[in-house]
Amino acid sequence: MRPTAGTMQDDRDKRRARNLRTALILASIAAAFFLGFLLQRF
Amino acid sequence: MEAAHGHAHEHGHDHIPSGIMRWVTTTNHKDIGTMYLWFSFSMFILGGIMALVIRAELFQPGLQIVEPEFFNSMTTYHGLIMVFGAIMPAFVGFANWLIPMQIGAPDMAFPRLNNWSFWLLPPAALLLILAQFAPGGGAGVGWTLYPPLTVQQGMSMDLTIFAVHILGMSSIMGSINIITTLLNMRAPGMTLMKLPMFCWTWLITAYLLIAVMPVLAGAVTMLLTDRHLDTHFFNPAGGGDPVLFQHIFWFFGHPEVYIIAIPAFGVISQIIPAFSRKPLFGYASMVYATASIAILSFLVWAHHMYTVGMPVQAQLYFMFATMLIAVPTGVKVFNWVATMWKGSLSFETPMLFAVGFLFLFTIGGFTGLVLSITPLDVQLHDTYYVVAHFHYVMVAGALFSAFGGIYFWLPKWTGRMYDEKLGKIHFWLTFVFFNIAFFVQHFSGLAGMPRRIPDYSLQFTEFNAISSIGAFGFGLSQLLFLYIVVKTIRSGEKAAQKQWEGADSLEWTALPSPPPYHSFETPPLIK
Repeated sequence: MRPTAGTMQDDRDKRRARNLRTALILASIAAAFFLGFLLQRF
Repeated sequence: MEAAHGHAHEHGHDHIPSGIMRWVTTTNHKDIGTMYLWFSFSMFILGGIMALVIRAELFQPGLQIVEPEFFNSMTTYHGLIMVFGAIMPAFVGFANWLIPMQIGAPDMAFPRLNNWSFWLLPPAALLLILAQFAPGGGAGVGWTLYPPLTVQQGMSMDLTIFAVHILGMSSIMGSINIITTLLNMRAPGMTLMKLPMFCWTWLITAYLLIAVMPVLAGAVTMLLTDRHLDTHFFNPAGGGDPVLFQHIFWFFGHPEVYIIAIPAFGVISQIIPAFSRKPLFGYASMVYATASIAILSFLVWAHHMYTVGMPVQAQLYFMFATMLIAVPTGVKVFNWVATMWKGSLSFETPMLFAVGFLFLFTIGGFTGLVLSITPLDVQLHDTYYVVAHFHYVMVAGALFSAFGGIYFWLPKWTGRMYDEKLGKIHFWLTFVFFNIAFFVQHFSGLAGMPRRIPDYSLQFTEFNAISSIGAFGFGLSQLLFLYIVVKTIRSGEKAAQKQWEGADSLEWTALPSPPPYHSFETPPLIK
């Protein structure tokens, strides 16, 4: 079996922290697109 | 792929809450998936009724049934409800049900966020419905919400803008959840290139959603401030430009087409190998083709607005970039056909819908190529040719795929088998009436009939009468679908764990039908 990064084999706390980190990055991308398009005309 | 160790210990202690609070407070991906699918179906019926109001008025030339303003609001809300209320939530429902089961995860990464994502939808739908009863009636602006018309509308427009904001928030949160789940929650051994194709398509779609839903939110926020805070983003008198809205809207709008189509491709990529009893042909090329389609979808938006007056160099660029999308799309279509080639084919209802998709979506794709040609599009812009084109993509593409997916996974989800004979009747009624409703619209469009009008010249009479008959047949056929689903849930025959012998993803190989309320509490090992 090949080791797979970022999977269920990590313990619960480590996984939670990683999930939150991923979500924050994705939410920042969304916020950047929103503000970028909104502020372009100001 | 197969699960290397069992999970029998999971079945004994399923505690399923009961009553209405189960659904309000649930964090279970299966419950939330079910709610998405039922919400989607009810919106499909509502949007369908609006479509039938449109088709009833257009059955004959002249004004017979509704006022022109009401007709305009029907075209607007039919579009908004079908896109944001019916098709998108349908595929999010599939994602909720299937992604955790296909990657061996116990649930989505953020179960409470998942609950919130769903429960934002009913209030948004309510706002779209309430907009009909606002002073002055529903907004008659088209689903594209172009100013200056949207700046001049009554209060219904504010309700609509608010609804779009809420729907966007729901989509963004859902996408964050899906990407996090797919990146972080896979069972050990489930490498990215072992993901079932449906998961891959959702991973790519979720990135599209995260990039473009905020853009739509930005566009409608600017509309809102133009309406109420005296800004002039889209008002030439104040230094603004209505064409700016079209650019921003279609920067969202074109990827949106693929947000709908790509999960549909994923469903088809699960169904065709199962009923060909062969692995998907060219798995890696399917992944790369899907990603290419997603990237290209950001680069072609202005092909929706050739007629606004843009430099000829820009027209050339958008024309060629649009045509380029045919290449990865062609890769996918040929891969599906190659999967079927020399396969041991059988044509149960899911496969019928998949093959129907293959034929009709390809027609929709080709008419898209026709429309990408700038000089032709200048003629065809805002005609029924465009209406025919996108209904071949949205209905015969996305909706057929959703129907196929429902028939494919219903035995897994409910543990009961649908009535195959009725399923086949549903397919053929849907297929025939769909073509009666929409194929003729190519001709009325080529003859010059404009879209979004309640009255038309006499030469379009026959085309419209045929189209309306097809639309009513199509709409009534969907009541049979409802009957089939309810009958399956209540009294279908017991389904096997692996109901389809060619299906090979984890939900079929490692989980019983129906799966336990909590599946994969211990992750399976993937070889």
